[in-house]
Amino acid sequence: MLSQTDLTYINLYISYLILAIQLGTIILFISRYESFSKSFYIFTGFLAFSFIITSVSLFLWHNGENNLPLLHLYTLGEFLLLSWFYKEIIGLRNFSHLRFYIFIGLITVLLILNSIFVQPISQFNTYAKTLVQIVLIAYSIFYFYYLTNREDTESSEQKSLRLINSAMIVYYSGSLFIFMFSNYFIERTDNLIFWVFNSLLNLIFNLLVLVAIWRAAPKRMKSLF
Amino acid sequence: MAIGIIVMVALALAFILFFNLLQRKLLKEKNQRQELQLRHQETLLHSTILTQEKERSRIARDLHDEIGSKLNVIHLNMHRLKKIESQSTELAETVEEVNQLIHNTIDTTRRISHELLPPTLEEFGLIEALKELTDGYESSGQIEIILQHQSADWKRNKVIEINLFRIVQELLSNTVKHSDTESVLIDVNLSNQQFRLYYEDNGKGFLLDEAQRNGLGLRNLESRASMIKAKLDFQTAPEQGVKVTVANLS
Repeated sequence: MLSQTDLTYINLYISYLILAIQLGTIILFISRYESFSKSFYIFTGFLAFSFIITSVSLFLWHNGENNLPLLHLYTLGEFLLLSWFYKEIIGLRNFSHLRFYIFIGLITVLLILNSIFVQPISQFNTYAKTLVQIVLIAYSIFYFYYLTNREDTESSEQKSLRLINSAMIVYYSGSLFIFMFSNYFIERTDNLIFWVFNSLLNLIFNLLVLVAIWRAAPKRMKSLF
Repeated sequence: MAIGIIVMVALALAFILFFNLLQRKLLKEKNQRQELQLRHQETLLHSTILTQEKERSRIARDLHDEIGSKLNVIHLNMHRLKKIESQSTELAETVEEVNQLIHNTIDTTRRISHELLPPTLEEFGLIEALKELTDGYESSGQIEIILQHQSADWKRNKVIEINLFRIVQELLSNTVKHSDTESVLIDVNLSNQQFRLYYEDNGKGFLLDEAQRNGLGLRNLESRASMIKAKLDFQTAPEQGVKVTVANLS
């Protein structure tokens, strides 16, 4: 049976591995940035944001400081960037401009109010995180629905977007309960296994994203001479 | 708690699996629909080409048998008039003018009729018709055409011959219009029930994708090839000339 210390280290190593994969994905994207569409720019922006927040939060953890305020910031950034990403890939025709912006504004206000009045930044923002995860799962399901109504043939870029979407639904569905009950976990000593599981899901998510970006990146042409 | 997480992941995976199966099914249905549509278009094009050929043949015959023969009768009568008009020079000139005009009209009618359906093709077959066609182009001095042919025990098939002839006609017309070349090679192989046509010009070529998108000419060639159950292989690229092979599938 693994001890709590073992689990802490496993979780830490997985986090480092995730950071390495994210960095690799970002470098891969930058090396071929000209060939990607806007949606990939936004998604890589989200990856870069996630990379920075995770790096800083690991740094704070090593120094024994509370890194939960970063989770509040991450939740808001994650929601805004991924909403923008889904708006881009689903297309404007399928979303009413005004209704979408009202929806984004409303959720943003709720997230901020939650961080100020309900769950201060020194605590887990379980309500906000759960809300954002449910919204992201809904986006993901909506994207699958949108794909079934598409008439044109799937390009390699669309295949990659489908893979990213699959990664999204698996990760956010799997981690939904973990974040929902994270405040409850704090009071228990056997909670680390769930965080390891969350990190594993996150690792799978980032690996699938790497594969998706790799597949969407056009291969360099070999010179004939 | 753990059960909840596992159920959520399982649900997500099941959803992805279901979606992939659904999308595959939809894609299959869409492909079937497109294939049916293509087949329908192909059938339409075939019947259009067939009707066009029938109409050409009818008009060519009408021109030759009806108008051509009547013009000949008028021409003969004008000759008779010419013999008795010696008293008046004015009349003589008019008769001569009309005579010339009729002569030109007969030539034009014959040319149009031949273009619509070369009698050589009907009477003497593909090779002779191609010789006539290439001679016509060569006599203009614009282009040199090398026509090579082998035919052994060729069982004449009018549908195959007219379609191969039309393919060459279309290719030559395109070469003269667009390719900026001075030489063309045509190689025809006919044996028993097998046929193979090879056409090559060393002109400036073109982007095949663009031509496929924009022109009906290439679709016409493909359709004619498919009508005679032949495979059309079209190779071209900018500055690479044009190489076309039409050969029966069996």
